[in-house]
Amino acid sequence: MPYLVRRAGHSAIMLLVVVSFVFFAGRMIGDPAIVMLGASASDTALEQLRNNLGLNDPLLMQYFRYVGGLVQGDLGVSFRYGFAQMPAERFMDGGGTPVMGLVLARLPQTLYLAAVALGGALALALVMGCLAAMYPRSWIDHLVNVLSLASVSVVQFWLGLVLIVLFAVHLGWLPTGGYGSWYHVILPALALGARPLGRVAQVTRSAMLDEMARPYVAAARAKGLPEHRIVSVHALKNAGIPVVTITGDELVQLVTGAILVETVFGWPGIGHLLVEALNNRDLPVLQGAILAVATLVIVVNLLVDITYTYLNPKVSLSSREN
Amino acid sequence: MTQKLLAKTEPDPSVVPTQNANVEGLYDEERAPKLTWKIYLRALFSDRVTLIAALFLIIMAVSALGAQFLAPFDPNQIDIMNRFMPPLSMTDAGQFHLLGTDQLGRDVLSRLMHGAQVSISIGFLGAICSGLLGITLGIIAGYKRGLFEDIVMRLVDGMQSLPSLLIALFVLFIIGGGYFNLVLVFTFLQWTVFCRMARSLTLNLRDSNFISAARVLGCTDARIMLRHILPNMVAPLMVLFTLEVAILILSEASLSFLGFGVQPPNASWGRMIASGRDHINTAWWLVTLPGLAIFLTALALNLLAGWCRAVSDPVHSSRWLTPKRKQNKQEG
Amino acid sequence: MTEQQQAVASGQREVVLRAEQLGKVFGKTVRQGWRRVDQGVRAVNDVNFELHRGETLGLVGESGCGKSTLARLLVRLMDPTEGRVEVLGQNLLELKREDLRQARRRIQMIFQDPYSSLNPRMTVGEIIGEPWQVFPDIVPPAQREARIGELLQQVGLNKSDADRYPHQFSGGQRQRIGIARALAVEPEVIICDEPVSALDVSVQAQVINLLMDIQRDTGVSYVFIAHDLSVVRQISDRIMVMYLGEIVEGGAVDAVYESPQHPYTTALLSSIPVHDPEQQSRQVLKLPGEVPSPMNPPSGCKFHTRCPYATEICSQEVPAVTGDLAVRGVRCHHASTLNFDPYIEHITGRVASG
Repeated sequence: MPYLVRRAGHSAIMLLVVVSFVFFAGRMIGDPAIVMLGASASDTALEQLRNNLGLNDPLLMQYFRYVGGLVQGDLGVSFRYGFAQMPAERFMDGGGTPVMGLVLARLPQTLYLAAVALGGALALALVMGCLAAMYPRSWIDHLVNVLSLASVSVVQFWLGLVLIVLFAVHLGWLPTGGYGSWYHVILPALALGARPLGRVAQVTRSAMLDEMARPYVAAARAKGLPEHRIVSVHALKNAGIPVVTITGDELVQLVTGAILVETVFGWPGIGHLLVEALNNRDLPVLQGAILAVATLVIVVNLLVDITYTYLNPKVSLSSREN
Repeated sequence: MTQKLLAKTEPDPSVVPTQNANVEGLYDEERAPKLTWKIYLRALFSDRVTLIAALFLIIMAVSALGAQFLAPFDPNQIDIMNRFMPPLSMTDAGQFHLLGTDQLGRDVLSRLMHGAQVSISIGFLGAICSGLLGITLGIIAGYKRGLFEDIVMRLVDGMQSLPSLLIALFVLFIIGGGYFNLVLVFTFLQWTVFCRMARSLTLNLRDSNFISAARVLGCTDARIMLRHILPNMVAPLMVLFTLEVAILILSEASLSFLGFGVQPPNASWGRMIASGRDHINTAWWLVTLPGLAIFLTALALNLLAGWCRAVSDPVHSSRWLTPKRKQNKQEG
Repeated sequence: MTEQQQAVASGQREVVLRAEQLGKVFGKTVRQGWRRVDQGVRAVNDVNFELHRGETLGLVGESGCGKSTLARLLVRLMDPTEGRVEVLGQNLLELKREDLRQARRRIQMIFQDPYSSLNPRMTVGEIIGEPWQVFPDIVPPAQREARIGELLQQVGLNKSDADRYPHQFSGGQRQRIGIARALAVEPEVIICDEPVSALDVSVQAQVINLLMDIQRDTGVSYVFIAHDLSVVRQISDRIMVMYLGEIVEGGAVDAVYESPQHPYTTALLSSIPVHDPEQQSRQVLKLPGEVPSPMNPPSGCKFHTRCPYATEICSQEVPAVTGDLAVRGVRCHHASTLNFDPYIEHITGRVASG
């Protein structure tokens, strides 16, 4: 129990560090008012924005106000998003998109994509890893080895583009991007899931190889249990721990991949929002997206650690550090 | 035998300790051979896949280093008349473009070679800088332990749990892109990988007897860390270094693709993919070829790293490193 | 008695190393009421001795009795929990940094495991010459190569070996390299922590003889730690017997071997293997049970759980030292009344006929 508390405490501190970093780094760009409204904005508009946002107050006070706002779910407002008008005009007209709304709208798409990609990759990887362990030196064993090596060498956005070239442009089977029906998710999920597929398959294979060499497997065989039962029920459970570990690691990588894949396919997720904000120099949206992603990652890491502890109560925080 | 041990030997003063070549009957042939470069080379040649990878990397390195001299065309030379020529095509003027031309008529092969220079050097430089930082901190943390180690490892854990691309993007957004900034960002993001490994290796080594011996001799901590611990960590660190170069090449490609890496007109593989993306319907090679270059380079590096790891593992390395005559002796 | 032993007995020689009430507890000590109670493992307790110039002090005991810990305390690889270590009058434990480094020139160590005590990435020449990087004034740079050659020859190796790496040598040869390294410092004292335990028997004799030659040539003093009694006897002038971190008996080596006063010493001596098949009926003092765990030491006399002569007082009171462990002493309640003649006859019998 105290482990969970400590671990949650770590996460909270991490979150605070990220928030602080985002806040202070964002200030380094320059005058926030100018960044938000553009260099050509009138002085009246700039001054009014500064008053609204309290930008003339001491930095530390702004910081606490920012954190306070976050807790209440306020990520600020963007005047660049959607740009039918110039940012300054939008501000004076009272328009402006709340960032939180944007983030909340986009987050589910990313989660959907990630779930499909990871789910498919995991399922396929587990099967492949088990098969490779069961039939060493067969074609599937070699395939797993090659795949795992290739998957860490490939650039996901390039893979996405190649898939587009192949399936969308030349073969015309699937759309080049966008969002809509179920088949829109196939290519992005493939591109995103390639890397976890390779890694998890490799770890599964080596973990299963270790497990199958253990005495209890030989005993089960002697008892007459069918092979697939031994593999799927008994060995897999024990080999689960390294698999969970690697999955946890890959989740973080998945975020990176999502940013790139969503951009390539025009998938309306939070990664796409992030890149849009980068290109438009839209600071509030950028900060909001980063915070959202970072929070997601921190929460997921916490969940993975908790799951890990439940799977293997022998493991404590200190030995994991080793 | 027991008698000899129990009785105190009275040394004969006329016998001076000589250059006794036959101490314990073991000398010359039976001493283990020195591990020379030749042995490693022979091992490399016997593994064909890794050999191909190594050769590929050499070709890449040569074209990267000598791009200015070896490229068939000027990478920035615009030739609108001959844009979008597919690979293996010849222009009317008789110029052969092995890999085709891009939207401005520039030769793709030459751009790839110059891009190699940029992408590979960033990967290399980034790995070196982050390696220096990470290894130094890691060794000190592992040897001295205490508060320094706690702080450093907490920092490492924290940084490693966040997606590095995200942080890199944000920082580059603030300070701007470009070659130097990219190396800087890589240094301060990737040092954690080296630090973690260096610390763990140091922890293993610091209890060894030869380290204790060095302490008894009066060596300073700095000397022990530099002369005793570091040289014994070189093999796994080289493997990690190779892997990191691959990772950084991929990262640079991603960052350049998003527009935050190397700035135009410098060609980098990532930028080439980005600009080729607009023409994906008509000129597939503009996107495919640079990515292929990245993929193959990273793959080759990963293969090489895997081979280095297999060869330096004391348990299995004898398979590759034992010279032929020794094997014959054992069989005979 | 040899000349050395006579000088020792009369206390005439210079003391190069002195240990006073040396003790080490791993773990912590906690306050319980007004006392400090060990909540850890006591590895070494109340060790006192004096080592004189040119002599060898042997230290025997079974594995796990605290010998190696004591060795590390003597060179200050570890800090003791109690006591002091004086090298040529200087208390090692009070010195800091640079003074400590300079003091290390006087006392060096040879390690038990020849395979891990040499840096695999340094050549033999670099290993032996390293002390001069630390203390450049011992040998000027111009003469270093020659001196390395001299040292290699002194330990029985070749000058050309200086360019080779440790993995190219056998265990005994590596131990010689370790000895050469210790000698390069030109110390007054060398702590030998089981230097031959990891070597083959035939090689052991060679290394022991080498150590004795060096002592004769340079006048260096040794603390020689081992668990093999026959080996220790050959090289030592005086000897101490250790059990569970305490010295239970001490004195001149012949005196202890020929008339032991502690049951543990007798048991160790009588178990030395005999190669004469006719001595089948010899009496061996067998000790019941096993060495207790140092985490839970017995009360009173630590040996009482295995001692065939133990009485009630042995389990209740810690025995005081009868005599002086440095000259001739024993830690036992019944020292004066025990008779080990049946066992001694066989110990001395073997020596006399050999």
